[in-house]
Amino acid sequence: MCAVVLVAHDLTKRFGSTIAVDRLSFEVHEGRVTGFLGPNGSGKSTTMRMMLQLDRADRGSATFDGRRYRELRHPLREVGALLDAKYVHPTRTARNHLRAMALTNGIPYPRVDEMLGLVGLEEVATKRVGGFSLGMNQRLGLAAAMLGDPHTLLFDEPVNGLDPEGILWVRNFMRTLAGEGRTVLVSSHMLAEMALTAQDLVVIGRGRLISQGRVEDFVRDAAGSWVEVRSPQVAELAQLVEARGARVSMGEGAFSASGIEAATIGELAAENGIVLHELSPKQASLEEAFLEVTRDAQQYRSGSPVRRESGAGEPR
Amino acid sequence: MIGLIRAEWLKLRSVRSNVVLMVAIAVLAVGLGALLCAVVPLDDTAGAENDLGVYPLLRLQIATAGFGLGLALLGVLGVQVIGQEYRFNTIRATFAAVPRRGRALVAKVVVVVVATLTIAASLIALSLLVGGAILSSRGVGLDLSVEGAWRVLVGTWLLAPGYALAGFGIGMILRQPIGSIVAVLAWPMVIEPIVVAFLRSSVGRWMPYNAGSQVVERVGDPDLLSPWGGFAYFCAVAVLLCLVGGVMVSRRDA
Ligand SMILES: Nc1ncnc2c1ncn2[C@@H]1O[C@H](COP(=O)(O)OP(=O)(O)OP(=O)(O)O)[C@@H](O)[C@H]1O
Ligand SMILES: [Mg+2]
Repeated sequence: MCAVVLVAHDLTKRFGSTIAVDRLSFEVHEGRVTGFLGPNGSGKSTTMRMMLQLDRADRGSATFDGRRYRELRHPLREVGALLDAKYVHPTRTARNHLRAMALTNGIPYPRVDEMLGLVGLEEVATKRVGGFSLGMNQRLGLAAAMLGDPHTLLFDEPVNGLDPEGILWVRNFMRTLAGEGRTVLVSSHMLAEMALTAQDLVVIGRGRLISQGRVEDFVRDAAGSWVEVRSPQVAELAQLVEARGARVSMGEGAFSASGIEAATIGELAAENGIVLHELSPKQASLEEAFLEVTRDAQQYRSGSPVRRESGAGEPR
Repeated sequence: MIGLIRAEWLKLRSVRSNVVLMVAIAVLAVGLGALLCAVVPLDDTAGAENDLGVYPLLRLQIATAGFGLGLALLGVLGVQVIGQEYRFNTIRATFAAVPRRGRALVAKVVVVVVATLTIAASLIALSLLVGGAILSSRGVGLDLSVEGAWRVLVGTWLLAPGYALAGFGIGMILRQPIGSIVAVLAWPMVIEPIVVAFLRSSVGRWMPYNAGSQVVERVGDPDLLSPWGGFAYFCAVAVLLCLVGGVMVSRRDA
């Protein structure tokens, strides 16, 4: 098992009457890319700002190897963050932006040009950042995050605004970082993107933790297939289907079943003389499943039945 | 701390508007003084009170008169050091690199004080050279040995960091540049003169910028604070603004 490096404990943040982050606790492991997933406005950016103690947490804290961010002597050498690529003064050059950061954390100047090379910005090192494209800004942000060669990296929607080539590059970049044994936490509101990049997932909705675990588990449970069945004799048929080892959840005059083929249900019905009004196989896309999971985080958490029966809503 | 100070100096000079502002201050401070030295009549028909030929100290004040506006613009520079960071959200990058915010703010104060002292010293020297040359050509010249000469010169010099720190403090309190710039320009140039004109000996004497400027006045005014007393009071207000602003910046979300 990999060591836990980054721990969020009970993080809570209110903005006026809205609770942006609500008693959020999770752990991020070393040597893996952890996806931090949640719909827009679910509190991902706020959580990351609290981790860096830019926003004051109303309660709780985040620790890196047991220490809070403010206790790190040279934080850029231990934690690199790309919160928003636009946090750069437009009339400052890329090199000067990085040099100022380097000076504050005792990082030697040659490292600045090394990082500009790494992200492919060496040719515009002396150009004002204001003229950069979104993608170039994003690359500069990555260079800034990597400046101190940190062990832990926080990326807030790093592929925002990148072209497909850039997205692929960032995805491989993060995997390489994790492969080197670093801890990588990357936020996104796209499950499909995270399924390709991350190994672990922390899923939040409305500032609360929904699930935490391996990506494969989440995807398997989330993007299940199931069969919807409608019949005047639902109870009878459901029993037969359940006897075949399928998971069944009852509705009104209908049920949905997972872990069984539609054909098998049809044959069962025919053998037992049961009338079928509907027999339709369903498949949830990753994004649909994710939406379903996060649409109503609180209702989900309280364990009340979900509206549509799919693996997605199945409490674990 | 040296690294932090170097970083803040790099940040100050790598923003174009700051460089433009510093050049503007130089041109205005030196140029305005030179212009006045060239055009102010030597014998004032309104009375001996304002006669350049009679009062050598007045000649010195005319030569450094550009600092009236120059100092106000140094206040703007003080605002920019923090206001620009909030305007472009670079304050988050700054505090992510230096999470103990007090250290980052102290580094900014050091840069502001050293930079403004250096700028003011060079510009005062330049103003004396240029103004002195122009006055000499008109047959009067500058005399630094007259009583009050060094008070005016040192006072002008030390007011520079005072104005800049007051601007820095206001910038930290308001945390956005436009409002802060309006404040540091309108307060000393519009509001204080009105208050001093109408409530001279009561509220007027406690108007900080006006009190600070007593140190460069030719004749003391019994209604107002003494030259160095007023200067000390102005500095205390500037430091207080920085302390209040520093606490606010440290407490709030970046
Ligand atoms: N500075 C702020 N002042 C007031 N409300 C805020 C502030 N920052 C965030 N919020 C609110 O807190 C909630 C969480 O916002 P946050 O930006 O953390 O979400 P997010 O998950 O990063 O969303 P996105 O995917 O859109 O980036 C939102 O309701 C947002 O409106
Ligand atoms: Mg966000």
